[in-house]
Amino acid sequence: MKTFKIPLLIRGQLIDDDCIEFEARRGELSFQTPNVAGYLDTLPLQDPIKMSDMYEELNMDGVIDYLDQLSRRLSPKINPYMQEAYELSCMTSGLTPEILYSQYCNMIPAMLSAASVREVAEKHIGIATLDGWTRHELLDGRVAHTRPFGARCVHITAGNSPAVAAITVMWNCLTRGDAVVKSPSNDPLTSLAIGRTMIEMAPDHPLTKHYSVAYWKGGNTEFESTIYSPDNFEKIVAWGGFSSMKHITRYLQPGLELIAMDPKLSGTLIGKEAFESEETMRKVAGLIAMDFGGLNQEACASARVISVESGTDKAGIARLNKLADYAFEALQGLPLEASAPHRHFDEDLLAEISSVRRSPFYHVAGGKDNRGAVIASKLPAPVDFSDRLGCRVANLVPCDDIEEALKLITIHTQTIGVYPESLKLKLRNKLAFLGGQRIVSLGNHLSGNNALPHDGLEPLRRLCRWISESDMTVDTYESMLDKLKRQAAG
Amino acid sequence: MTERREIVKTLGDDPFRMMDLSIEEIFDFDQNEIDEFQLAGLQRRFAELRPALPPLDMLAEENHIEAINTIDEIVPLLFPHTEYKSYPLSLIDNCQFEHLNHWLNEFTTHDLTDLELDDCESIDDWLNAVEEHTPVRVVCSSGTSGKITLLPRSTDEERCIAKQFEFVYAKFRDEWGFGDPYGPDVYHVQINPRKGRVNSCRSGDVRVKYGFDGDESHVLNLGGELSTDVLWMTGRMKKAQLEGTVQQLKETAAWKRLHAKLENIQTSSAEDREAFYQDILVRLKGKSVAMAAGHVFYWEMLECARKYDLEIAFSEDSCLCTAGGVKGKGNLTEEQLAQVAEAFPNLNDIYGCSELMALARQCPEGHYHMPPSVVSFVLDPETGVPYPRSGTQTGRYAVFDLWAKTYWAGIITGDEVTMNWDGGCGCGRKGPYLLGDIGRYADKNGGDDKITCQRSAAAVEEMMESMRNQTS
Repeated sequence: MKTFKIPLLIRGQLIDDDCIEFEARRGELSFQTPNVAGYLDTLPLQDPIKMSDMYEELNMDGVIDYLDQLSRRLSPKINPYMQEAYELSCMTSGLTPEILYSQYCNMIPAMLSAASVREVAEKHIGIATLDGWTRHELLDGRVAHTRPFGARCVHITAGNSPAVAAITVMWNCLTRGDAVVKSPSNDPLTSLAIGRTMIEMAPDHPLTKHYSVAYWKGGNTEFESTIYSPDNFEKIVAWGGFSSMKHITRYLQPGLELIAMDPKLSGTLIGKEAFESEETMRKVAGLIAMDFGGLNQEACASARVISVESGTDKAGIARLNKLADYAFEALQGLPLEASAPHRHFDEDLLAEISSVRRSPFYHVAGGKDNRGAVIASKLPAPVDFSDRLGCRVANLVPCDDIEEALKLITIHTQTIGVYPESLKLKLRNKLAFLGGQRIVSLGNHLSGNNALPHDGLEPLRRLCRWISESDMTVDTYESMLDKLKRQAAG
Repeated sequence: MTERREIVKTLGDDPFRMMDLSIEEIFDFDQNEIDEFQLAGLQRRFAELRPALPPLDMLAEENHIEAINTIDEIVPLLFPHTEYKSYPLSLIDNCQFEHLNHWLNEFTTHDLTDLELDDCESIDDWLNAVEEHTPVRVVCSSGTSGKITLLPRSTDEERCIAKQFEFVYAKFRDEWGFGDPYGPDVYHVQINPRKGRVNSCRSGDVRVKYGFDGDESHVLNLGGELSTDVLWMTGRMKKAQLEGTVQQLKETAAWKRLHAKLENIQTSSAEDREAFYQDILVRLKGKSVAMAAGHVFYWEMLECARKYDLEIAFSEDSCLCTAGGVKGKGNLTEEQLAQVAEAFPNLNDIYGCSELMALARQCPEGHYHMPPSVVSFVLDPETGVPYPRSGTQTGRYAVFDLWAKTYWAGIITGDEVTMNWDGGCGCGRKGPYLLGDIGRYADKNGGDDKITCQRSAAAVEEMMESMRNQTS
């Protein structure tokens, strides 16, 4: 068993004494980390006025510059902390080393570069808005000012991709909040590695001093019910699966709100145009493969159940089966840094696939080993284990009219990939009402952009506390009174 | 050829001949003898069943297997535990029994093709038609995946099940047990409805039929019937509740039909069980009782005895067994379990899984001995490759029931076991044995979806109540 040491990081200070040990996923690793219960007084920011340093000493240009400088130091090629985080992720993640390496070396630095974070800040809130009080003249005659302020947030992050750690840093810096990150057991090092890099880069910088990272075993209700309180935090940002999300809700109370990056599944709608020619079918199959194969289907945006307007008669099912075969073929051709056979293929899923392969109601391309599968249903219903599709396994479901597939879109649907473009325009409002959050062209399930809404909300706005200050001087009062009198007379 | 060699050869040629043996004889084979007749039995079943069962044929073709030369060579042909529920759930939701029948037909040597199913409105209707016109007797079990397992046993296997219960309750050397478990003074007690398609109800049927020559008075149970549709809906509703799709479920033909006849469906309640305990505590006082049930039912019986001031006084030779593993203990506290142990001092445990006809009783050494009608395998849980059949091995349990001759009874179970292949148990039984600690992989992976016999009564009650509260 390999042991990793995980120091506790509290606002620029690393603590690594009095460690306790946790066994990690798959029983192959253990983590040693200080018992966080001993730091209840210091881990949350007790005095919120201490956040003022980020406002007095810093403007948005400074924030963007800080993130940009940080982004240049994060590649594992030059950063031993990130290298260690990458190595641990290789052992715990569902992503392959190649995909992870690309995320650590390319995706994370790009995400935090100046141009990228400037766009995120500008599109979600606006840099001028973030940088000061915005003046408003209102109909009732008053002059008011509004400004978003950062909040004390605990971020319960997910470990399905190291990008989550980088997004959290970006959100916290752009909103100038005080973040306490609770690392996940399948990626306990990335957030910490970024924090250590901040300390080396700028130990006294206010942004370094408002970033903390801790690991504890989630579900420790005795500890969590003490720390998750409005005295300590205004917001909980929670990523994660259904059960951990349900668990978190028990701590909510007035003064402590939840920003939920809910567990989501994604859907895909493919119109009959996919079958217009052999060439189109091949192209569509390639896009399908990118959508369910990319990131090894570890993302909530990954495609899983794919509704296809193939028709449900004999000829329609034959078309669908062919598309399944093509998609499986295309999956095998994806580059290693995008997708690869799963190293820990879900054995129960493999059993399910094995059984449906022999059932007269399905056609299965692949599914005999860890290379993934495309299951074509012969009846217009998804496989009964559709909620467990993963490890690069997609399910094509036939229909006669693509609108029949709308019943599969619910409030738990995140991304919906659509083919062709005309169908996307036709359906986008309906998809939104049904619960869909992100509507993309087929092949773009995974091409997320932080400048757009996330999980049906604008996280940057939600992370802020929005403050207004109204200017109600004696003059304003008198002019309002005059106005009322004139209205009464007139 | 010596007489002994001849027996081994006979058992290989026809595993059914094991039925002629006594419990002492069945556990008196050396490992090499067991290997020999088990391999011959596997070869025979593969040769007989492959041409008749398309899923087996496909599996053999996929794995390029034409013949079985060693016991382990059958492993790639074992069905995953999902096989007997690999039909689409929508077939039941939408009451498409023709399709379901077509699916089931591929798993049995009996011919189901000419059945008239147009008038079938429910699973019970369909399976009644199957049973009326063919020898198939499907065994069902339910889970929160929303599907029921449909294992197509038939009348050809019925006698085997009766025989397995004889092995469980028969006296081995100086251990507990009856000279004749179906003797005129022995009463079998079951805490389940009389009729139904779950294992426990089916085993009641065959014990009456083969053990007691049709005399119902020796097999006591709760009476009534557990409808297969109710059993299915119990798991189906749990799935819908978890997914938040109860409204969609209510739109299905299956829901509407079951809801319409809700008032006519009988289920057994806690009160029914209490009345049953009262009855047997009085009626079977001093009598020889054979019973296997989860600890929770013994606890209920104990509470009933206390409430009505009744004595628990079955005859001392009674064979009271626990079953259901951890699940059979329900939510009982350590203290409650201790009280059960005090009130029923000679409880013995038995192990089985729903796919197997055989049961293994725990010997005085704490080990479980499967009769050699079952070929056991311990597989690497990650790769599915069999561990060597020697020494002590821990892994996923897989079985092949040689007594099944009309369906493929090779199954990879969800259980984690430790097997001592070298045998030599102090109890005197020869052959390999399972150590006492048996777990479920599903529990390790965050939860078990099985609604076991021990939990089904409460689960059914809960579902019926919930369904009554839903307007159609």
